[in-house]
Amino acid sequence: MTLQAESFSLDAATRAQARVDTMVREYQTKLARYLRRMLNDAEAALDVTQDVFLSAYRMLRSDPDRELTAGWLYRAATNAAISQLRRRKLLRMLPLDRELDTAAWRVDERSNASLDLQSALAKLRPEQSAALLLTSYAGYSSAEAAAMLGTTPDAVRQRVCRAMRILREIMNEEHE
Amino acid sequence: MKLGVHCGRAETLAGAIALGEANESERKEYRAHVAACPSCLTANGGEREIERVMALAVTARDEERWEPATRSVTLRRSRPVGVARWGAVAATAAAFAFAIFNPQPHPAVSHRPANGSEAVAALTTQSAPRHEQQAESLVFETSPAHQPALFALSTDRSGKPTSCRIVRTSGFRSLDGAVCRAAMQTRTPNR
Repeated sequence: MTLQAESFSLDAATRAQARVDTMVREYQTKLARYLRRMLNDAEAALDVTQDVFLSAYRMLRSDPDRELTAGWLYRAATNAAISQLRRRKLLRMLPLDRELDTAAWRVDERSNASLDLQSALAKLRPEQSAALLLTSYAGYSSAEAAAMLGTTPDAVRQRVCRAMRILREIMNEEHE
Repeated sequence: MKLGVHCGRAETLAGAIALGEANESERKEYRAHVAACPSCLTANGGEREIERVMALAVTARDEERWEPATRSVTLRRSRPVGVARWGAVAATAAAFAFAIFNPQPHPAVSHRPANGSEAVAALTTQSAPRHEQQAESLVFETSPAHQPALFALSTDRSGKPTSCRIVRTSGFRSLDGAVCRAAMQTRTPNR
């Protein structure tokens, strides 16, 4: 590597670090909370959050002029979370697995709404959880969520409707 | 609950209402559908019911109190434990399991000099190997009544094992191997 190329690389790394630091300050808590809901596991949520920002850092380092948006972060986080949920589902099929149950539903003990939401999320398919959380929790529109999930806005609305049905069942069970 | 053919559209409309994205004509379309379709009304509820349920997610978000511990993006994560280390752990576990579940009474552990002039240390179940002066080799044995096993463990000056030799087998090849492998993982402090 020549001296010029080396200094360019160093500059790119510094710029990437600065941009990612800004994103971390702004989105780390929101992203980690979103992932904690998705994964129902605080440690796993923190791991995935860290991985997402690390991916962003690597991406910006190789292409400093690339735009980095919150949507990119949420898309990367959602994909990672869906993969992890699918792996867990496979693990649940193994007879040896006795740990991965729903014992850790209590995300926030102070709120009934929180418990109901988490109970519903545990019963949903990963794609349905993602649709519900990206829209109602992260605040994206169905069109934005669809772009992140690689589907259509109507499909997102349908997933939200089905997720809502389960949420409603849980709420009705609790009130009976 | 089995839904009718046109109920897929109703699901989309219900989702739009839930997300606050439905316009007036879409709301009317949904109302008209649920008026004629009791199963959709039961499954999804009316407009107010949909909005009430969806408000729960917003409430849950607003009441969220969890503050994640900040992690550095470039923080080096712990390296995955290598196959060799897992092998050593498994071998040690196997050796302990064998010792615990063996129906024979627990054999007494004794020590004796490897050679008269060599420094000798003893390995007991309670304490780590003990060095005398600068140990260069360590001999330990398990002695069931009928067939004692004997191992010779060589160490360097820092106490790091350099080789393990099975002087007399226990009669169980896998156990001998496991004990030797476990012994090679230990590091005795040089005193």
